[in-house]
Amino acid sequence: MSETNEIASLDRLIHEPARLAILSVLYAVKEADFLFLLRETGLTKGNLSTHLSKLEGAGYIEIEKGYVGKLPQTLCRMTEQGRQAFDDYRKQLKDFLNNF
Amino acid sequence: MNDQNKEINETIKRTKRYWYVDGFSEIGVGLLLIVIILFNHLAGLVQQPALQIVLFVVGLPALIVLGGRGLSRLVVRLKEKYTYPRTGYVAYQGKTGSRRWKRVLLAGALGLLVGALTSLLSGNLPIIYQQLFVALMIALAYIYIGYAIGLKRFYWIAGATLALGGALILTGASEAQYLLTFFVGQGLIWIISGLAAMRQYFGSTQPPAEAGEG
Repeated sequence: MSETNEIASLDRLIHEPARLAILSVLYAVKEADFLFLLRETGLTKGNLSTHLSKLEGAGYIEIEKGYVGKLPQTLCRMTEQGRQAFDDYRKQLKDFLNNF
Repeated sequence: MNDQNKEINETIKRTKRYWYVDGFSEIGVGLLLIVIILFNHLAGLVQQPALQIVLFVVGLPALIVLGGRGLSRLVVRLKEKYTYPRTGYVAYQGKTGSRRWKRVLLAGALGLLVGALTSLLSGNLPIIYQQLFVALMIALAYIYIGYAIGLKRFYWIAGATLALGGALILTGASEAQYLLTFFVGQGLIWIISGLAAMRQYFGSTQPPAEAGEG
């Protein structure tokens, strides 16, 4: 596969920097809440919500809304499909860098 | 793209070291270590052989297992109360089934290997070299953990461990005194490190009311 094809074959949903940051965090954990993702990614609340919805729509993450005491809590976790897609993305990125 | 790859790895490491951000776990480990070493020392002073065997065979393992579990629960409770409302909640992947057993077996094999190496390399050496070797092995373990999760203060803990080991050797302490003081000192180093992390964390984060999810 040529270098151009390798770049073109990268999963664009993951390749976007904000979503890549979100998935990198969720890959390292079982689950994380909205506040943690907000601090780690440096995104605004609206931006983070939008990207989380896109990732949820693709089946890469699950979102669970609940409460801790009286405070709302949004929990996010990576699905098996998401982990597989992220692993594939990292492998493709590594292969590309090795061939570059 | 190389930067992107590095950023992914750094984000994964940073997320993993979030567990240590508030210092609770280090303080807990330090306290547990001191309790275990003091228990071990006091059990050694018991005059009745039967009671001493019970303390070493039943009491010590029970203290390690139950103390470890209790400590783990306490750390989680503290995090739920103080850390998660401030900077967010995270739950880590637990090793389950065969992966957990593989990890236990690997840790056991590594322990045996280090023990065998220690005996082999330092068996014929004077006691001070054996003591220095123990301090060096423990410091190397801290350096490995610090490197694996990118936590620089573990390098300081390693340095303090070596300094403590060296200082105790210079005092000419007996083997028993050395072991007791060295491991109690280890516990204190962990506690000091944890307190420093805690001070830094609470000084740089805001209470829940000002940092809610919204």
